[in-house]
Amino acid sequence: MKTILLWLGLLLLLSPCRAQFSPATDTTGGKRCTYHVVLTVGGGTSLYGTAIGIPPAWQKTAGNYAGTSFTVRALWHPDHRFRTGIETGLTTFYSYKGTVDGEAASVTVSAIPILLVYQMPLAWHTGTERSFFRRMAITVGTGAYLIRSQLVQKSTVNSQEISAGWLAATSYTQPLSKSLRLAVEARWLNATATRESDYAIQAQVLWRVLSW
Amino acid sequence: MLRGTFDTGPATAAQPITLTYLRPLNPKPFEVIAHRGGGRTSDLLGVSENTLAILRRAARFGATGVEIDVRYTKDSVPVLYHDNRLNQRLIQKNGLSGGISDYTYDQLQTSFRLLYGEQIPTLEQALLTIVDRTNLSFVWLDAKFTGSMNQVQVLQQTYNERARQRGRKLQIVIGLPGTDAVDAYRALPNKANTPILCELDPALARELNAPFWAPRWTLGPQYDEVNAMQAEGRRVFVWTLDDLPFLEQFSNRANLNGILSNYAPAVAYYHYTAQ
Repeated sequence: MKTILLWLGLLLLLSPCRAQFSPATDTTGGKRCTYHVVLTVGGGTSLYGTAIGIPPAWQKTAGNYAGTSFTVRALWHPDHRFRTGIETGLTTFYSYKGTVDGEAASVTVSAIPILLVYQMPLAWHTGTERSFFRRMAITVGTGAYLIRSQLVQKSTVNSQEISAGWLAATSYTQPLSKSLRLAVEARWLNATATRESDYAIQAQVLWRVLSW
Repeated sequence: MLRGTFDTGPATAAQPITLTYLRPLNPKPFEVIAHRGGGRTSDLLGVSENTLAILRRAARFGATGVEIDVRYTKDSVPVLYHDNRLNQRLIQKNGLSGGISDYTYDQLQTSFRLLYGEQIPTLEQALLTIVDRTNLSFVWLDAKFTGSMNQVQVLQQTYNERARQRGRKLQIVIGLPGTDAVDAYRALPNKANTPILCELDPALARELNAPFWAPRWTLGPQYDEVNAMQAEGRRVFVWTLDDLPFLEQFSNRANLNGILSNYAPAVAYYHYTAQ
């Protein structure tokens, strides 16, 4: 019985490897496949995910949790599934307005992410190029958010704060040509120091700018 | 000796109890100075640091004095705020950042609330509260601002005089934590009736003729230097000492005139129970 369980366990351990590895990816021969640098440009809408703190002294207040989200990302696609790169962009977090002593006042908060990102497709050698799971990818990122705020109350005050933060995203990529693809990506941004959390959905254009 | 009654249940206390001091409290004059008006103790009271509310409570947790942090707003109003930046350690989330000096006093009053909902107080409000509504004997104005010291000096002199008129033994001194503050002090046209506390090296304290010298506690007890400064008529404090074993050591052996701490009750305990 013990021996059977041992063999069963070994089989379970080895089965994913068998599914993922194929002779084409045998690196013992010293050959590698083509590397690419893929530039992603995207834009969409965002929704701020945590409470906004409208000052109690303000009257007739209204908060706006919706905004826009833009991304520029450069990603190195090697001949294995782990992709790395950098990302920046602009996301409007939220805004609110109201009156203070009868005069209009407003606050807008936005962020510029400066992130190291890592991406993996859900499947690599299983299925075909048309496989759904090959086209799905998850992306995580870590780095800094430059949080920009603007207060308009009699005069205008622009200020900035740097916060450590995270990104998590999932995307579906549709090939259009050899070097051009379209993607849709759902994103979650989190700036820890300033306790910001934001969700976004973007349409993205991916362009394979370099191959070697 | 205190006599009274007590009970452990809901019934009227009927059992007699007598509390007797077995030893006297340490009678040596000593300043127990609460950092930021209340330090970490304020965290447990539901009251923000550097506020009027914590200043009114400071004596209740053993402080005889307070250290408060002075910064200028954009329109040059001296207010109390510790950190370089407006952040969620000290203020309620409102989306705004930057420093105190980026905002006008009006903007700070209407668009910012401290952690427990208080407004950022002005230095004048704080000194008025200390003089009229507390029995504190020492106020350390930590000069965290850049620019002229004139306004702070005027308030210092006004409220030192107000305390004197009320028969209070209160000393309001301006702390000089760095070279900017030293330069601002040097630039004052008239330094009379402007007691200062030098937080830098002893040579500078002597050069400025500061009646108070307050080195960082991590420099050690500095027995010889402390004795020398006291022999010259200066009072010596250390800042900001929170570690309990070191608090005990500094309270009992360092011959200081006071300790600035985030834990005023601990300083009070070690001082008053010292033999």
